[in-house]
This record gives sequence, C-alpha cells and structure tokens, in this order.
Amino acid sequence: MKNPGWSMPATVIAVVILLGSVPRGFSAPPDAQPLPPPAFRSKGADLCVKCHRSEQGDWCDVATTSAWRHDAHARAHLALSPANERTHAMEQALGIKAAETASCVACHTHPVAEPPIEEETNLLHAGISCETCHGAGSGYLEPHMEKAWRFLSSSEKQAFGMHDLRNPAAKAQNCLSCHLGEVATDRIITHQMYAAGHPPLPAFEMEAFSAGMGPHWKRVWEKSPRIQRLAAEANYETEGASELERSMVGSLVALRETARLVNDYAHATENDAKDRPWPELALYDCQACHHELAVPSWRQEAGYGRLVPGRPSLVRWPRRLAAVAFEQAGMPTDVDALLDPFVTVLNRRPFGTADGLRQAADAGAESFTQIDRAIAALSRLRRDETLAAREQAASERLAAAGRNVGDFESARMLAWALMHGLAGADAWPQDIRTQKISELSRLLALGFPTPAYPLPPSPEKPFWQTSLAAAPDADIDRVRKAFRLPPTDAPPAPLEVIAPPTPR
Amino acid sequence: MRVCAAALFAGIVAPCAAETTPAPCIVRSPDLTLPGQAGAGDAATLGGMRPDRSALGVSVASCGTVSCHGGPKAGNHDVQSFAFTIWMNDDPHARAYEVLHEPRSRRMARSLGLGEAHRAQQCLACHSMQSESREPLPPEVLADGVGCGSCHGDSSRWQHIHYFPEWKQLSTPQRESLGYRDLSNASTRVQNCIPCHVGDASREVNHDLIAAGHPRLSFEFAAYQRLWPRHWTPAGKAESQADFAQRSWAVGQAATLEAVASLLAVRAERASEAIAAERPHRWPELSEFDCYACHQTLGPRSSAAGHAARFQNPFPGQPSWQPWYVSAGRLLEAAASPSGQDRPGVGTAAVDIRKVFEPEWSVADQERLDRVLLEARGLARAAGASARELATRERIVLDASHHRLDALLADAPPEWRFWDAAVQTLLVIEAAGGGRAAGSRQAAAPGQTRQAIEELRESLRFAPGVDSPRHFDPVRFNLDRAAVPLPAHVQP
Repeated sequence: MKNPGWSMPATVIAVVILLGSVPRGFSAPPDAQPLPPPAFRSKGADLCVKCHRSEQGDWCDVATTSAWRHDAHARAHLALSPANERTHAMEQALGIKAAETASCVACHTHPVAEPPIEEETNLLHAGISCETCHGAGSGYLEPHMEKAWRFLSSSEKQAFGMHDLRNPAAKAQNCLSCHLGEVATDRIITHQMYAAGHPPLPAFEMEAFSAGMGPHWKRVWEKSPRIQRLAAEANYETEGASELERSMVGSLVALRETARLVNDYAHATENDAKDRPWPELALYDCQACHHELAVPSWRQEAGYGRLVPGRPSLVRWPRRLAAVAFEQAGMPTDVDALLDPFVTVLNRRPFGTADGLRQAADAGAESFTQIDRAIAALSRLRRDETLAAREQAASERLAAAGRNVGDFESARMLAWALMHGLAGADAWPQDIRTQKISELSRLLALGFPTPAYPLPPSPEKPFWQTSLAAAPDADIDRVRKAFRLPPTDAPPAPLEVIAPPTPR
Repeated sequence: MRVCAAALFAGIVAPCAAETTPAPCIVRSPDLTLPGQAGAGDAATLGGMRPDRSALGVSVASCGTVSCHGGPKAGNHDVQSFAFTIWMNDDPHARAYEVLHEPRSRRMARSLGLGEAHRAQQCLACHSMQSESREPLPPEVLADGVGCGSCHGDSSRWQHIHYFPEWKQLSTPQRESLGYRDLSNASTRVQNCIPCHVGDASREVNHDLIAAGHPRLSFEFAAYQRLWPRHWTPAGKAESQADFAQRSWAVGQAATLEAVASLLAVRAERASEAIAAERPHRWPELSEFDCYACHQTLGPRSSAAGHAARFQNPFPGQPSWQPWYVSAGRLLEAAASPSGQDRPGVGTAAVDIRKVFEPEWSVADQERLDRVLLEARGLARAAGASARELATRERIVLDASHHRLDALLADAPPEWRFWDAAVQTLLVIEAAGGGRAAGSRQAAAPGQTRQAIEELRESLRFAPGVDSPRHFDPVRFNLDRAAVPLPAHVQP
C-alpha cells in the first residue's frame, strides 16, 4: 500500500484507535468512561456539497448530495421548528422548546457533541447531514481528496475520523443510535415524547430503510469491473456479500443494541433518576400494549412463552430476523433463550426493575458475544458462486419464520429481508416473487413513500406525512399465510457452503 | 309434621327426623343456631360487611326439584316455582363452572401456569361456590357454578324449614342467623355481586388474568340487574320500590366504589409487603388503569396523540386510574348528591386517588404505596358512608339533566375523554328514567327519547371482532348526548 503522503498527529491516531478498541461490555456503566472530547470537529455539509453534488469519476459515480437532498434526513431539523403543527403541540404538551432540547437536537440535527467550528455556519439547519454518519471531517477532509485515500484500510480511515459505513455492522450501529436509541449521546426517545405526538419509531431493517431513503452510493459489486478489481486490492470486502446478508448483520446488531440500550438506560437511571426515570416505556415493545383488543384474540391463543401474561416485553422486533441470521451464519441459536434472563426480571414485577435488568444484561453478557461471533461469521461470506444457493436457503428460512411470526414489527423485519432474498432466489419464477413481494408489502405497509421527500416541504406536505406508515394491526393469520412460498424444483440449499462458527 | 316444624322453629329439636323431611330436600347440617347467636344481625348492616361464602355446601339439585323451584316455566305459575328453571336455562351464573372446561379457559390456565382452570382456586373463587377457607366441595356442588347458595346463603340450616308457613313469620335477622340472606333491597343485593364482579382480598381479576383471556370487569349494578334474567316476583322485593332504578344505580355505585377502593388498598398492601420482602409483585397493577390508554393501534392518527393536545392532558404517556369508577364517583356526587358526613365526596375522593398516580403512574416504592393506601382508604370510607346514607333515604331522585351533566363536563373536561366515562353517562341517564329502565315504575320515556338513547348506545358499541373503542369520539358523544330530548322527570 502506498504511503498516503500526509500524516495526522500520531497522538490523535492513537486516541482514535484506542477508542475504537475499547470493549463496550454491558457491565461498564457509561459514567465509568467519560465521553472524550471530540477528536475531530465538524466542517459542515457545505464543504462536502462543493464536490459531491456531481459524480466524481467512476469510483464515485453518484451525485451524492443531490440524492441526499431528497432524503428525509436532510430535513430532519425542520421537525424542530414550532411552525409545524405537531411540533408545536408536542412543545405545548411537554413544556419544552424542541430546538433547545438535547434529546430532540441529538437526532434531528447535527450532534451537539461536535460543535461547529471555523468557517462553517448553519450546522443546526442542515438536518442529518454528511458528517453525522461519515464522521466529523476536520481530520479527513483534505486527505480524502488524495488518490491514495481509496487504498487505506477502513481502520486507517477511521484514524482520520471517517467511519466505515461499508461495513454493515458499523453502519447498523450508526443508524440505530437514532433509530433505536443511544444513552451516551442523549439519543433517547421517551414514551412521554411519543405520547405527546412523536411518530412511533418503526422496526428498523437497515437495507430496506437505506433503499427507502434513496441511496447516495453504489455497492462495490455495482461499480465497473475496473473499480471492482481495484476495490478487491484495497480490501473493500467488509461490505458484505449481498443486501440480504447485510440486512441479517443489521438485525444481529439491532438485537445486541436493544440489550445494550436497556443496560445503559438502567445505569443512567441509577445516576439520574430525575431525567432518566424508570421504567422508560419506550424501551419496551410498543405493540405489547398498543394493539386493539380483539375477541377472539390471536395474541392470547399464541400464548406469551415464558413471560407471564400481561407483562410488557422489551423491544422484540429484531429477534425473529436475528434468529434467521444465526442460522445463516451456521450457528442456530434460540434467541428467546438468549434473552431469558430479562424475562425472569420482567416476571418479578411489571416492567421489571432497572437494577434487575442491568444485572440480567451483565449475566447475559457472555452469551451476547455469540451475537458478535455470528456477525463475524456472516462477514466472512463472500459474493461467490455459493451466493445464489445461500439466498435461496435464506429465503426459505425467512418464509418459514414468517409463517410462525408473532407480531407485526417482527413480520416486517422478516418481510423486508425476504424482499432482498427473493431478488436473487431464482428457483421461483419472477412473477411469483413479484407477486409475493407486493402481497407482503401491501399487508405490512413495507413501502417507503415515492417519490421520496419532495423539496421544499410545505404545510400541505410536511415531511412526516410522507414517512413510513406504522405497522398495521391486522389479522396475523393473513400475514403468516402471505409468507407461504410455493415449493421449488431446485435441490435443497447446500448448507455446507455456510461458514462454520469460529469461537473467538 | 306440623309439630316437628313448629319445634324446629322454636329451636328445640335439633335433628330433623327423616320421615318429617320432604324427600327431595337434603339436610346436611342438622345443627341449628338460634337467632341472636353467632353475630346474627351483622349481615344486615350495610357497609363493610361482606356475605360469608365459607360454608356453602348444598347442591342446587336440592332446590330445583319440580315441586319446589324447578317447575315448568308457565305464565300462570308463581315465578318462585320455576326460579331454578330460569336460572338453569337463562342465567349465565349457571354456567360459571362449566366455562372453566372450555378451550379458552384451559388455555388461560395454561398460560398463567395455574394447571387446570376447573381445579384452580383462583378461578373457582368466583366460578363456583368453593372458597379458599373451606374443604373441597363435592363435584356435584362445584358443577353448580354460581348456584342458589351463592346469593341466598348456605341453605344447610334453613332449606328444610323455609317452606313452612312459620318461615314467613321470622324476622330478617332471625332468618339470617340461620344463614339465609335477605336480598329484598338493592343495598343487600349489591353486596352479593361485588365480591366477584369487583373483587376483594380473596378474589380478583388482575391484568395477568385479562391478558391471558379473561374479560375486564366493569360493574354497574343497575345495568347488570336489567340484563339479568329475573327469577323472582317483584312484589315485596327491591323492584317494588318506586325508585328502584335510581336506588339501584346510586346505592350500587357507592357500594361498588367502596369495594374498588378496598381492592386497591389490598393490592397496595400486598405490593408493599412484597417489596419489603423482595418478593415478586404486580405493582403497578395494570388493570387499575384506563385499558384503552395503551390498547389502541399506533399510527399518525392514534387517538392518544390527538388526545394529549385536544384535552390538554398534562401528563402525556400516563394512563389514568380507573376512568370507569372515577367517572362513576363524579356522576354519583353530581346526580345523587350523597352527603358525605363532612367527608369529601366520592367523586373528589376518587380524583384524589388518580392524582397520587401523577405524574409517574408506575412508581413502585413504599412512599407511593403508602399514599395510595391512604387515599384508597379515604375513598372506601367516603363511599361506604355514601352507601349507608343513600340506603336510609326514603326516595332517591337522580338528577341526570343536561344542565347537570354539562356542568360536570365543564368542571373537568379531561375526565370526559374516556369511553368508560361516556358509558357511565349513558347508564346514569337510563337509571334516571331516560331510557329502558326495566322493572321501574317510572313512566316509560317517550319513544323519541328512547330512540335517541338507543342511538347513543349504538355509537358506543365496539366494531365487530374488536374489543376496544376504535372510533369513539368524546366530543361527538357529548354533543349527541346533549341533544337527547330528556323527559321532564329526568330533570327535576
């Protein structure tokens, strides 16, 4: 690899590498590791736009910022304005000013932990912009314009402050910090905020959401053969092998992050019961309570597993897809058993106790490393001649899981993943696959608004009216039936192509 | 025979000789307790006394012979002669035990880890006459479900004598000393229903049970009586009182509130002990809160989000305590103005409980539980006093006029956003004589009123297959309610 030709202060690199390698064990309370001062400062999206508004050769042949401008993220900050009816109502109900409230600002605009510097202005008016995801640019802004940049490894780029969003696990963690929550960065949505009018955070399937917002990138395998060859030299394979397997990695990360969020929140409660009261209902499965009552009730017929009937469950939408991901990684795992320590706590009193759930997270920390092993196993899979068979096998597993699914948000996760899987599973004729996708999409409201997010937003069309619909509370039997796939003549998927688990 | 009977009534002869006992009647306990003994008369006092169910051991079969209460249902016979037949054929209480064998009950017991529903004391406490404290009942008595003895009292000491003319000459306390229960007025009658239909220290429908499949409880005595197939003649009974519908409603709501508050106190006490002993507990008991605050499908049009803004709900995301019973208390205070003997009114006391749960409803610590206990006892006392005061009134007149209801609504607008409150409003209008108050001597409401009330009732009905008020709009309801033409006697 060539020397890039410029260097960062060694201390900064050391700090970043060190931070990157600190294990985020569940047992470590957040206050034990005070947030370091930001190593890099934001430069502002205006600078990025100067180049990325047009294609940058065949390495980067997408007009990135113009795609981003049509993305809801570009307008996330508009939700902070009381000019919106809903924001105004929320501010009234909560007695706050959204633009001055840390937990609103943390997800709707540029993170407050990295204040703007130098020439950049108006960062608060740019929504979720380039640096929110890619990392603050003061370290990499100039270096990344060099040709040599492309041949740095992701950890080397990380040392300059650029996050590796090709890596599905890293990307999922980045997205989930808002789309699920993160205590350390104040990205906490509370039940009070929901009740005051914040739309529900739906189950988050990374690849479907990426496609829905309008991707401003191309996968390596979509680029020209020349670039693919060069990318292979530069070890771009952290990207994963397919949308389907990326989505599975995403669900495993979501599973891990839901447990981490509960743990971190429970710690935060102990330190600051006033601002972080317990129980925080937003940590629980919305639909455990929020469903219409019905007679007869399929929920009651299905039973509640080990959970005492009537006790709210923690967030559970990642579980079913994660179970399929474990299988795809060759490590079949009983996800419910993995989460059993939490269930014991939830059964001791409604919502459990902060202390109990924190201890359960500690007790389960060892078994949660299994999630990371599965992520590693999936990451070793390559875009090779076994891919089609893997997609076929995964589609069958997803469909089987869907036929037994117990809630709508989990069904959506499976259905989104199945949409990626069916794209490559050509053992079924195209028309059957298309029909299946449209059936699931209709039943589960999987579609993202098209055209995505027109600009400018107007009072008639504020951005939330174009956002994803909440999961419908329909007949679960119809949903389960929609997961039925016709038998194929193709031979059963060769399971041996799947990488065996390698314990750490 | 006459001699024997007379001797029995005099309390002289203990065992009843076989030949003097009519064949169908089974004598289980020949011992007689004399009137005046064993706390006789206590059961007649109102408030705080609950019927003792600990000694119910007589099968309905002994009451339901053809020549006694199981005769054919025919218009020219006295209802008393086919009371059992009505119970057997038309009364859901007769199937209370049977339902425990149904798939739904079996599934419920399984998911609650109770084993078999028809053997679980938690279920049998209300679905049969088996109480916790007594030895297991024989299967044929269990199978009776909620049989004669559940309400009329353990008949082992009076069934073999109650058909003699002398029985009629006994005073109520004398009869009650034998285990017979007087049900001839609304006050005593409602005390019979409450242990199961509201709950007490030994029986309750909690959220675990509801989630497993049990229907929620929402008791209103007057409405329940209207729906209940009557197996007695109104003459000489509660029904013969001119204010039967109003009295049932007012006394029923007061007694119910007393029981609701007592149950809350029991729950708080148990949680308090469990927390101190670090045992599992059920606090917050979710069935104490508004069902539909949580149970609604989420979405951009979700009613909760809308309600926070529309009704200036000061605590978004917090379910309210018992809208069914808080609205009952407020309506009782407004429509019947019971004097609370210098205590706060029942409505105020109920609202005070609600305030304990604000702004953080789910807190489970000793301080919170102590406050809940204090306020719950306050409501229990206020409601008990109201029930006693109402029972002594010669005539109860309910004011369910629009003027009154509008004033109540203006007083606390957020209270009336609940579907539960709307139903309670409808029920008080009906009890006041606005609707179809069957059994009331009240002049029937004009057809126009009845129709308007029917429409109001329809607007509160759940959609088919749904068990929550998906389309309920409180503003619309109150406009419709205000437009019902009420007859003059509803507006004193």
